[in-house]
Amino acid sequence: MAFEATLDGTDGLDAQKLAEGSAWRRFTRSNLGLILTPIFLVLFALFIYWYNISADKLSFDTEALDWDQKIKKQMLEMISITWKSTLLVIATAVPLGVILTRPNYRRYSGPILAVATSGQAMPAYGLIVLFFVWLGSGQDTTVWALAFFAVLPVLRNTIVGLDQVDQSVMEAGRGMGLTERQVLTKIELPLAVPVILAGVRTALVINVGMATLAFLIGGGGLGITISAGLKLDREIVLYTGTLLTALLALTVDWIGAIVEKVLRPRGL
Amino acid sequence: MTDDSAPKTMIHLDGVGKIYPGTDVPAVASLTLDIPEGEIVVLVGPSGCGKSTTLRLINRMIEPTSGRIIFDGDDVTGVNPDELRRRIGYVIQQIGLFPHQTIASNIATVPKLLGWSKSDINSRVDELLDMVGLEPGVFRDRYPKELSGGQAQRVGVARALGADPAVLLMDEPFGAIDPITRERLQNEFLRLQSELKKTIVFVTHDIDEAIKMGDRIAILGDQSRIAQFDTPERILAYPVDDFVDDFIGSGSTLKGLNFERVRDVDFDDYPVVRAGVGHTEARTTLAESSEQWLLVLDQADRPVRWVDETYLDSTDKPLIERGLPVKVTIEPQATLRDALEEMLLSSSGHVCVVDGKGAFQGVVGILTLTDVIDRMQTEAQEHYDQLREVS
Repeated sequence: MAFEATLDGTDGLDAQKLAEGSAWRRFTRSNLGLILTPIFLVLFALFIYWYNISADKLSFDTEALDWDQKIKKQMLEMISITWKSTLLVIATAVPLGVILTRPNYRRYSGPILAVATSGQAMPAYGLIVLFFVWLGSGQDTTVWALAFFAVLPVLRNTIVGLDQVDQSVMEAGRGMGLTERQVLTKIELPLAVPVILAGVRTALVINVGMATLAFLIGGGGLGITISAGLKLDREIVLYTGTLLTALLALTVDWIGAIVEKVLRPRGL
Repeated sequence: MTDDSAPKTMIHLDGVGKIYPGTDVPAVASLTLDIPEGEIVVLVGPSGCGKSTTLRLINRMIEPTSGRIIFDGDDVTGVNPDELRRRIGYVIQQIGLFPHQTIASNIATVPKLLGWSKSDINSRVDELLDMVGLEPGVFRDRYPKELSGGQAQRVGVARALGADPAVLLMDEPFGAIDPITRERLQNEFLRLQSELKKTIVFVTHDIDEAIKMGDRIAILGDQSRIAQFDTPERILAYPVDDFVDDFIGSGSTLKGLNFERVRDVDFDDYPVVRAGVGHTEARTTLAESSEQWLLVLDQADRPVRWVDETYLDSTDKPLIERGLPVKVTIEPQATLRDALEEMLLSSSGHVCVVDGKGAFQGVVGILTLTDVIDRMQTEAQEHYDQLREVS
């Protein structure tokens, strides 16, 4: 399990062999949630599977829920949309947050945060349609729309995370002759990582949920299955679509939690 | 008293001032000050007088708006401030250890910036941890949050000494530490300084800390104007104006006695007898002196009893069983402040000075102290009179 590998690598308790047993126990106790979540996720997936094979299905259902042709493809589209839009969010919001916390640009942070907030305040449906009018149909348009929608939590957390870094730590750094850039990369950003990552995790979950709307403008995703189930009033199709979306969101959140754990600087 | 032949000037501030944009009133008015090499100069003054700002002008954490800073002979007013700061250790009250780095990595900050080799850095880190009294094997790989306040401040000092800078700037370094730990850190730091001989500029608002730590003290008024810049002894003996007098507060004479040692004063001409002599002889000795009490020494020259007239009543009891016991003695390296304290406990109002083996050296009384205080004040006064004549 990849999880165990990261445990040894990051926890770095390169103490004696004897201590390993107790270190492992301490780790499991403080990370019980992280360890139990995958078990729950597997049970959840098995439940969806069982629900599918045990239900009576029309030929329409079988066709709509075909793994190779539909479901697998839609889930991969969801993952792809989520992944790309989240990367886009990080690539824009983190540098923007850094710039907006520099003394010279701080005064712009108010207006820019207002724009980012309006992005999130807008109905998701409307936002996707707006981007469709602007950029045309397809997955890429969805990626941009979602990125715009999810930029706020990352931007805000980047600003908050950088602002909460202890002034005296930065003062000491400057006083020892670190340049402004070194203070940013060696002190401010590492210390802001936990807060920034919390924002990224929020953005990830928002993006999974929003990705179900991608089908509206030809972006694919599980939204196709959900909407087919709704239109034709087929419970099995509707439920399978929504349950799989939930499974995907929970999995993504779990991965986010692990990334947070791994990237959090030691000593904090 | 400190030798007046001035050592080489390490930092020369020449009319340095700071006016923040948008204000007319300078935060620091034109300040001219020489920091001698190898000494601790304390900037002390009431809150808001600009002493921290002054300190930060020296390493250009705050850019001066006027004047020049001469550092070890070079004008550094225009050089790259980051490179300047790597040559100057910096310790602040909040310490500001990097919480995400180990103690070793914190201490290695400046050596890393200067591109030292890994092995040089490692041995330097261990040396510094040893120096500040932290076991390298235990503390090297810890994180700052695992340290107590006193330990963290030691690491702060070790980090500032990282690349062995000639100059240290310290901004209330012991200000946030409990009194007992603070006292211990101050003593340790003074011991360290007696070996390292760094040039140190030390900011505090506590006059007692200033007196304790400073080779010289600059008492600063509003906008960092220097009210008096001198050795602690002279400031205590001769505050130049009411501001300084108010600031050093009551008890300055008492504090001044800390700077004089018993070995440097003349002992009183005091009546002394051996334990073996008879009462008549003792009475004669006492009568010939102007003192109330007679000191009795045992065979090994150790002072044992204080005896006055009422005890010399011609009984057969040996002198060694008469009078009051000598409860306290001091050694020559004690300060006059210690001597005064012992006098208050002594039956005769005098204190016996003994050498390391307990053998009698002499007696010091309260009049000796008043003479010393008088002399210190006169000397300081003469010093300032001379200065006035010169200018």
